[in-house]
Amino acid sequence: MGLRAAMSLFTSVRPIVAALAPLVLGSMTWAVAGDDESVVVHLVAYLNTVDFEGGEIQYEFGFDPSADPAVEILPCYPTNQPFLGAADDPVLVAQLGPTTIFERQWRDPSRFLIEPPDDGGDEPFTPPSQVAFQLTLPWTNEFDTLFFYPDPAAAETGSPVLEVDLSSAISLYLELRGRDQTDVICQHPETLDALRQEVDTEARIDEALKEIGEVDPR
Amino acid sequence: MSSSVPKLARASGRRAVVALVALAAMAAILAGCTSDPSTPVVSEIRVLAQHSPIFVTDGDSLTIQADVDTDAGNYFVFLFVEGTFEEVCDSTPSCSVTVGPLNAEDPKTNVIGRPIEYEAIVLPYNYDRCTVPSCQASDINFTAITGPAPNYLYGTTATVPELTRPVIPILQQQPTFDAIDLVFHQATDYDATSLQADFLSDVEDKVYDVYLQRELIAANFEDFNFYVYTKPGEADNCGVPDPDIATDATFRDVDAVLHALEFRDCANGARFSAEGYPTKAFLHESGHAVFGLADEYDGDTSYFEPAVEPNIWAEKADCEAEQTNEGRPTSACTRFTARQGGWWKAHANTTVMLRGFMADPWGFEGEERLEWVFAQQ
Repeated sequence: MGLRAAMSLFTSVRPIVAALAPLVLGSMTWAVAGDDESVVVHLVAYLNTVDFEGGEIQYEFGFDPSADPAVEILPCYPTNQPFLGAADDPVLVAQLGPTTIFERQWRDPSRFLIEPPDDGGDEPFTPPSQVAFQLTLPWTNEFDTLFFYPDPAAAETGSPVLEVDLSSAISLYLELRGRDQTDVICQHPETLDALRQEVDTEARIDEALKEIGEVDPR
Repeated sequence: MSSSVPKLARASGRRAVVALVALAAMAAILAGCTSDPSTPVVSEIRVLAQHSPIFVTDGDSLTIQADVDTDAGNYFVFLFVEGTFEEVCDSTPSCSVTVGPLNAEDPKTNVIGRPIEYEAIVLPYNYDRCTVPSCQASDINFTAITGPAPNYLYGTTATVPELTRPVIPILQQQPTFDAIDLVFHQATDYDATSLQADFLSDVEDKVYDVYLQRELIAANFEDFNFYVYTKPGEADNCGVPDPDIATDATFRDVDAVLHALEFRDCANGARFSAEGYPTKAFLHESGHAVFGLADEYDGDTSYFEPAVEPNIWAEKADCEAEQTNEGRPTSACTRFTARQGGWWKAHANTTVMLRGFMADPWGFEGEERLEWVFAQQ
């Protein structure tokens, strides 16, 4: 799902959570949440080898249930990666209390897609036993818990493999002045976009035509 | 194809003028005036601007080139660099200018390393009617100029040195919301911890000599933004960027780790590894990490059926249904591997996802997948 599509989804659920938002926002008066902020979840998936038919090795992933994933909320643009996975890929559900804010699939981190072998043969690829990765999501300050399911069927039955509580990250973000932070390196794209907005093409056309002694033909 | 917010904003700002021009044209027609048959109708204006070198450092000269695709017989091409009018070309499909040598330090702020903005504008003249909004086309890009090697400082001030920006935009064509943001990482096997000239040259090759030479990608080239990350990554395990990338570049969509040694590459999620020099890896792994395509060869990989516009299927019936929907013969569906339960595809060609050399096609299903991905931007 692209960011714009995701934003549409968020927009559709805004009325539901509007009344609940002050519970999260508290009495803060500065900008703390918008559609262009990110929540970054640092995860480690353990890849367990299992025998597949034909004697091949297939990998399946799981999380260490005792792990406490690091979570950061940043005043920075999130990814807009379109949905690029498979129909049976893992599912992420974001909730505020019992209310589901959004649900989306993400690409299975245990899936290693290997370069075709060359004639003459390459060294066989050996996937690692674990893989660290980060999940970046648009942050709207409308959810406080993330639930990870290994596949859509598990999401249907409500059997998450991991639950991530965002409350500490939210508190820290508010303490740091939320969106008003101005010394964060990842805000650099916002700077470029501001410069892009300042470009006045019509004024440049006028300047160029004047320079070459022509009139606007339009 | 995406339409950037700034472009839409500019177009709407011209609505009143366009409306007046349209009214004047209608009045002229009603008055019995006839058009000069020698002047054309302009219905298409496109311009793609790019720059070289793709990674600009202190003291470099910068060449901007604009390639124009239009049915206007006569037109101006204006080139602006950092807000300065630098060049005009008259009715030539390729227009370029070289500026510099450039100084990486901003004399007003003393910041070392800064973004550079350039714009190519196409303005038809001597036409009878124009159906293009505002009757113009513009391509606004950003790149960056950094401090000299080996540190390549970017956005650094003497007072706040810790704010050096490690993510350097080498070709930003759209706001990040509207683009596929691909970050290049230098693997440690380039034999250094700082960015190497070989790596930066390899990056330029991947952008201009691989992506821009593939027809379908070139047609949607403006949907890409490219960046270089100054912190080295690891080439193993499908390319593992420095973990700081998670918070330095939350906006990124894809991580590409280029390496110097040759070994079998792979993709995992939205990251992939590839040799810096030309091999089949960069295009093939881009098929996975950028476009979400599955492998089409019989081998030790992980097969999956993409949820939208799949290029392989777990079930023969689904392959045949797609063929029927597209008006293609169901007999093309073949079981190309018995691994992992058996998988099906609808061709017998050597495609990018079967191999990945520049001459390899995407195939029907691969093309449909790429078109879908670009349509999401």
